[in-house]
Amino acid sequence: MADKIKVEVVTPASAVLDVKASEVVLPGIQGQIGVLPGHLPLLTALDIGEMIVHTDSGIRRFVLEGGFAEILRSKVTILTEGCQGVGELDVEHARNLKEQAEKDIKALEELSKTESIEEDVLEHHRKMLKLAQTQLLHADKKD
Amino acid sequence: MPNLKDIRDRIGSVKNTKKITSAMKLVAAAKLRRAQDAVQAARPYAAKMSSVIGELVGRVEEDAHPLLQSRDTEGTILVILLTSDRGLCGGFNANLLRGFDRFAKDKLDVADEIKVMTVGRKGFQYVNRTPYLELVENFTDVLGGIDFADAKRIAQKAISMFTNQEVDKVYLVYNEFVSAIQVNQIVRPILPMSRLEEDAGKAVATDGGEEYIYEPSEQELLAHLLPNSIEIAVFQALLESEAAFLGSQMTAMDNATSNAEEMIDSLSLQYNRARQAYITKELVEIVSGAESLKG
Repeated sequence: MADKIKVEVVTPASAVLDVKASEVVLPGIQGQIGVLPGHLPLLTALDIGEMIVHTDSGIRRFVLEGGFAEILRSKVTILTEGCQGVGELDVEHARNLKEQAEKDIKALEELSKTESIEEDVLEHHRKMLKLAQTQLLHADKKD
Repeated sequence: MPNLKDIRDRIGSVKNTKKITSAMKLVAAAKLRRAQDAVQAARPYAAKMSSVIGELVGRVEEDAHPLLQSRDTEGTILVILLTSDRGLCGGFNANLLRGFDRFAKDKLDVADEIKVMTVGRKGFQYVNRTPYLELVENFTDVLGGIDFADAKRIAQKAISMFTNQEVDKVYLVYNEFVSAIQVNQIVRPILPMSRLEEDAGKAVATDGGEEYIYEPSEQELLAHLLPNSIEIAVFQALLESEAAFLGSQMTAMDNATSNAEEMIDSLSLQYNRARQAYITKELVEIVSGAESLKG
């Protein structure tokens, strides 16, 4: 069994990461998933959350914005809407995003009492809020 | 022999044309850079997506999801045709439409009907004047600032037509961007997905074809993943087409500008010759007039 697993992360905007790791922890939709080399083939949806990659040069942390992961014995492919290293997070931006999202959700919920709104829209704002919260949570934990 | 004023006017008009073409070239070049960045940035995602899907399709049963089910007959074909709104871009639309026409004629031997959804005015006009193609919908306002929501709208429409059994196969026809001077015409089957197996043959079952474990359930995951991958494919095709259009336009305008320069040179030569001939003629007249006075 190989002692390393290849990790590739791509977003619609770019290819973010391509490294070899000894362990990867992913934010699976049903809870965290730890992946070691030789994992059984697994296809999973991802939640917004933290990804931890154990490489030779140390542990690297990222915030993933949902998407999904394909896990094969020697390779993990992650397709996500966005992926930022914890060190690169823009706290100010995240804070603004959070405030904005909270305001939008409140307004929409208010609106939904009187008239019907599209669930998708609300869902989108909830996602934004969660993203912002996750970013803020992890921004303190530098590499 | 055209007179001096005619030639001068023509030089003037060619110069004006040259100004326009060189301005258009600059605009296209500036836009191209942005479009090129966008398409290149999006490629890894689309490529990974299709390799994951290829792997996936090799492992699941056909009846796991409606989008995987292939139908026995060619039946009705839906084509998503991506062209441009405007011309002045060399063979960009003409080559694509010629290729598409060949494809459509081949398919008509086996299929009942070909329906088309178009993006871009050129494709729309083409479908309207071609009797054996049926237009389903023309998507306007997509080109120039492509965003994912547009791709999603187009993909959703195609998916719903497929799942409602209105169409049995879906193809994507577009220009792929290679460089400013080269584009490839692509005809790509996107639905049903089991057909992708042949394209992604090498990606199928690299891990011995074991069944995946799914999280959450296979049904839920496929229901999300498969439509999403179609959306990505359409989005990528739109980006490719946009970049290819700008590249073709830049090249065409570059050629037009240098042709205009050549034309100005040759007209100037003609003008100078005519002017010289005119002067010589005047001189001869003056000299001979003076000679005759002397005599």
